Amino acid sequence: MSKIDIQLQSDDLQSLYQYAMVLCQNPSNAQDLLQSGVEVLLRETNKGKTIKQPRAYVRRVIRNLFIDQCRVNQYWQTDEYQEKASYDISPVDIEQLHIDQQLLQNIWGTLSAMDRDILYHWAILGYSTDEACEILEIPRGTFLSRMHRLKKHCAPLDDSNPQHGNDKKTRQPL
Amino acid sequence: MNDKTQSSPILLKAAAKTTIEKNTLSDTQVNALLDLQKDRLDKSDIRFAQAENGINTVDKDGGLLARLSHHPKRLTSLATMAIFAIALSLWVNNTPDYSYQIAQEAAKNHLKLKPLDVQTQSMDGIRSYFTQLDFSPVQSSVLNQRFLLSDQHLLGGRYCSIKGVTAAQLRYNDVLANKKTGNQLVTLYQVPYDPEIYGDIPSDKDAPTVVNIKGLSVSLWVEKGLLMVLTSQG
Repeated sequence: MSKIDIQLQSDDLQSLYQYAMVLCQNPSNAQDLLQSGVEVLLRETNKGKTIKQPRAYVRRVIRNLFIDQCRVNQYWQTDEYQEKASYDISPVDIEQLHIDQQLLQNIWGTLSAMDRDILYHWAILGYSTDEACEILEIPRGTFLSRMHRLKKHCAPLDDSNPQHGNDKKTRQPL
Repeated sequence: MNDKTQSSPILLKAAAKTTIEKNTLSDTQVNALLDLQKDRLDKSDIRFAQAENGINTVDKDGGLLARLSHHPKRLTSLATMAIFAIALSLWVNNTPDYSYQIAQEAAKNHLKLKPLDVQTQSMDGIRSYFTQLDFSPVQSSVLNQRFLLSDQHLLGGRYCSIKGVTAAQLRYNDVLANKKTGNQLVTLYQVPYDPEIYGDIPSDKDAPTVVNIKGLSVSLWVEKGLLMVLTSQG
């Protein structure tokens, strides 16, 4: 009988895999990230370190590993990004946004990893977008301007919007 | 019939949740990760049990080296210490025996007995000849007192070298030895003394270092800043 129980159960592993997929959008890379995260957890546990929240710990490890990989490939944006066009970045009522499931599925991969990370923290972990930006140290303005673009995608689907039913050609790419 | 169904818009949060949760690991992949954890925990338990029972045995997963490989800092420091110890022992063991090397070279020169460059019975004659040296050959008091050799026994000299440094080779005819054993030549080498080249040679006039080599007796001492090497029949 083990002195220490297994720290990550099936649902934890599934959840962490989904998080890895949110970041890297590639099943093989996501599995690698998850396995590396689990190994870090086991190594630290074997050293005698007490990790009270293994799922959160591994999630953080996965994120750090992903950022490291991005830095190697130089596609993680560390500087504050300034949009060329000016957007209204007044608080977006993201809670009320409606979107077609298939449309989101289609545009999901075109969002930046940073934005998907925030959406994950908001939709799955239950943080507000502001909290997610703070936790993840991501400029809020950048995120809001991206959400405005997303809102434009959602706008034609919103019943309250008089432009409902506009041609998709008028939508801006994210 | 058109199969394409028009889905109705839903809240972004719900849509995002559905999109994210579509990705799942297969049962095989989940089991592999669960097994990985069990495997590590089992090994951890073995070590735990051994520690509890006071069993100090080699680890089942590889022994000392494997244990140390989990602690790179310890491994590095241990390796550094080992290298240092090896280097120290090599240095101690390989510190060259300078006296023996000098004696060997002096004996070799003595046995070759090359012709003298200058034949003289005075130290002044020697000094006037050896103008290419960066020192002045001297009259050795040890040679006089201990070996009973003076200018009157001097035959002459020639340039030579000891451990790559230009030296003066003075040749004497040992009269006392001649009486016992017949003709016996004695060679005295003089070269500026440098401890880094010649090692620690005693400057005690009463007790020169004596090395017996190739049937010869080689005496070494330091006098007036010069290394003196006297080679005679043993």
